[in-house]
Amino acid sequence: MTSAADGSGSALAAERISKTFGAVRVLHDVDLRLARGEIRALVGRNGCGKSTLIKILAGVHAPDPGGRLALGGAELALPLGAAQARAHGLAFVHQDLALEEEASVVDNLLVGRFATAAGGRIPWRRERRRAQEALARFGVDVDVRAQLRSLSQVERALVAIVRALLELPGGGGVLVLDEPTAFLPAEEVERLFAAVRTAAASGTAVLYVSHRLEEVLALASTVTILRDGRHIVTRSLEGLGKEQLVELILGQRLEAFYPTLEASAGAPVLRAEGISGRVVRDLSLTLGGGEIVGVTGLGGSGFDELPYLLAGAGGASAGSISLGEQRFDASTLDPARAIAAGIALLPADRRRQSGVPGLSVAANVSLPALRRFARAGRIDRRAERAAVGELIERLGVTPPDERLQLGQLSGGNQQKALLGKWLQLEPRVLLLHEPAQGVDVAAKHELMARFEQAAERGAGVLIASAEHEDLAHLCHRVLVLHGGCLVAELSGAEISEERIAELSFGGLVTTIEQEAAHV
Amino acid sequence: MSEQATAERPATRRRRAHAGAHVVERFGLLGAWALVALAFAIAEPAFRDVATAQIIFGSQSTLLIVSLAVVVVLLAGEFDMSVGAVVSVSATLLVYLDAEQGWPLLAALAAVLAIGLLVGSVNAFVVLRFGVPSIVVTLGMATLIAGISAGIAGTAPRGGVSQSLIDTISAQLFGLPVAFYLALAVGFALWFFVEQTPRGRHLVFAGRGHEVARLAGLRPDRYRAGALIAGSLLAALGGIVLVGLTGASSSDAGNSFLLPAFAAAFLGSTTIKPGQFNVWGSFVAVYFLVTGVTGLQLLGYTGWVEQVFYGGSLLIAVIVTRVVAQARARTAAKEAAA
Repeated sequence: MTSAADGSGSALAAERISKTFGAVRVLHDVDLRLARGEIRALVGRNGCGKSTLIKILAGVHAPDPGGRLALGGAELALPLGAAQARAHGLAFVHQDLALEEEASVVDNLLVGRFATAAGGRIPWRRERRRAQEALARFGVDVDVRAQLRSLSQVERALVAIVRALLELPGGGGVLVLDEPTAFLPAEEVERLFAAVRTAAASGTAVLYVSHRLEEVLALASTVTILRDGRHIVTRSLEGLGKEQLVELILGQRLEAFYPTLEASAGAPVLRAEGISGRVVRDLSLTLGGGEIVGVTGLGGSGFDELPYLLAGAGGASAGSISLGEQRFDASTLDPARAIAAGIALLPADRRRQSGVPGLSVAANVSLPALRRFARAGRIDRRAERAAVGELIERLGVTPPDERLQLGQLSGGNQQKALLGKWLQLEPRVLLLHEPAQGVDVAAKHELMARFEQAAERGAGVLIASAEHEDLAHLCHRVLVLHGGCLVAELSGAEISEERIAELSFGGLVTTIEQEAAHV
Repeated sequence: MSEQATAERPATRRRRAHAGAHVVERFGLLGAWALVALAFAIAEPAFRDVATAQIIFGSQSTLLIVSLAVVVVLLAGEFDMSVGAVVSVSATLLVYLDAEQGWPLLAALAAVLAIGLLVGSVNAFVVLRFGVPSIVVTLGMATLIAGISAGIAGTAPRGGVSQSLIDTISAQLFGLPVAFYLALAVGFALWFFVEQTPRGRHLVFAGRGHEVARLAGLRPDRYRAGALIAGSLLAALGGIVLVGLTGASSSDAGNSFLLPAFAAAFLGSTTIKPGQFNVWGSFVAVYFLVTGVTGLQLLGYTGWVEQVFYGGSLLIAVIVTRVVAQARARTAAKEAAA
């Protein structure tokens, strides 16, 4: 590896970190060295060992003997205790943020760190000002007395980051950000980046874990790539393009990352008219057989609501949905009838809406098709297991063991299995919401090929996503929503990532101008 | 363990390690039960009597059935705190109607089961219609029906139930009362339903993933309602068996079953099918608890020992369940983030 800095300037120096679980070695002599003020991206496929490495730093796992760790020049004994990691200037922000929704911003920020005045009381006025100032330094201007849940998602993420920074010694330490943007709309990520850059400018080293390579390229100055538990390379991101980054991650040449588009729309399989929901207003669209249609927009534009409205998942207040001869009132359509009519919905929330992590892959996948395996009212479990086993093997789920709990698979493999849950029904309409969220690049590639195949077999595929690049590569048509209304439609050669982004943001500009004109 | 599952290779070795850990987890409580039994057998000669085994296996049929009532409701993701009261009320009502009001036995039995059906239906209605947590609804229901029962039939212990009921329920078959086989049959039926039928699988999904079930086209609320009704019906059956075994009822007879039944259900969820409430796990847990209590009583600890053992076991069981669930959720969450 190229040493980022020598000992004196190094905020974190980990050497020869290994970890073995049972008989499986998941980390092989990994080195990681961060300079003060450096923003380092840590990337790799799911299962590459990066989350194990993070857990070792956080004191969750004990590494195998033989490794070494120094923080801010001070040598520390391994394994590290969780409190020790914190005491020596390592702070973590995980994807779930670990904030209390019902509590106020100031409580979330300062709990455990409140100053006390005479009689042990908290000097609220002073503490609120302290919180306000800390947030203001990172560009967050909110009433610190407000409940956390009244904040936008990005503001909540910022609160979590500021809280972590408060744990660090002034202008030092190491901040580990573990997929903090996974649930953020793309256009708000920049605010978070600004805060991270501010922290780095004051000397804090940042280790940034993310699957979103655009973000890695935009934010980090250097990158460490892990593959199969080994350190592959640590280098500057300068002059590195996304394709090269993906190739380094995968360890193979990337012929065509995205499947090529050939099919064009056949006869319409789904016609929706005048659909209204919580945000979506009076929206009409047609989905052709063999067509892949993207739906996008900014957070709050209602694009993410559409798949659920079309699947009868609730929330529709008006409109009609037709599939061939069948016509449904959107407000009374329920999932059972939608499924029977050939509609399949793969929700974004894998753990609460899509699958039950604590139950087996077999049970999760067979759920909507369970009656197929019933013999005289009894589940033929051998047939069920065989069918699911064959299905997940075909979809490239690793390990292809249907007896594992769903939650034991990595995110990408869970998603493949849950896609299989719906593909086995051979749906005429496949509705997807952020299908590549929290999925590694290789799995994403495989998933996209599956969407293509479903379309080639004549299904209409609708993808609601804020990942403009994916949409640009995959879709025959892209619909852009703003304020619940369709504001633009792109098709064929018009589609490009830049154009989609422009239209998504463009809608916003137009509206602000319109509103200004009214005043 | 799940870390191993995410690592890509080598799959076979991982699978074997996985299975090994699984066996320990699955049969841990059975082993603990055997150890407890062995310890008592060494310490106390009376424990080695056949009569002791008969007491352990035969006397607890009511508890087995009440545990199943708790399990079916827990499977649906709900709590039924009224099962104890339903046992008391149905026992009291059975004796009252049969012995004091002169109803034919079969009519009295039907009335008792109808009460169970009614209580379960009201529980389900309030829970689903108004979205009130079932633990609160059933707690209120427990006190309500106990009060109504006391108002109608008083609180005095009563006997005099038809001998034919006692003869049927207590009849010995291979050294154990019919009640035991009845509990076994109910357990088998519930096991068959949950593990072998599509609807049983749906019930599990309704309890563990309400939205997942709903979006798969199921109606999870129906399963919740069905489970609450089935729970009350089973508790009413428990009341009938209690009267059949003891020939008498008292107004608080059922309360002593509530805690052991929950202890058995939670303890049972750590074994046979770890991580999920299950029939045979609950049976193992009931016998583990009863063996412990019986052995301690034979050693001369009486009265307080039952409470200590049941209460302590429930606490330990929920702690174990919680710790295991949290560990799983944590690894799952971290992996989802990786």
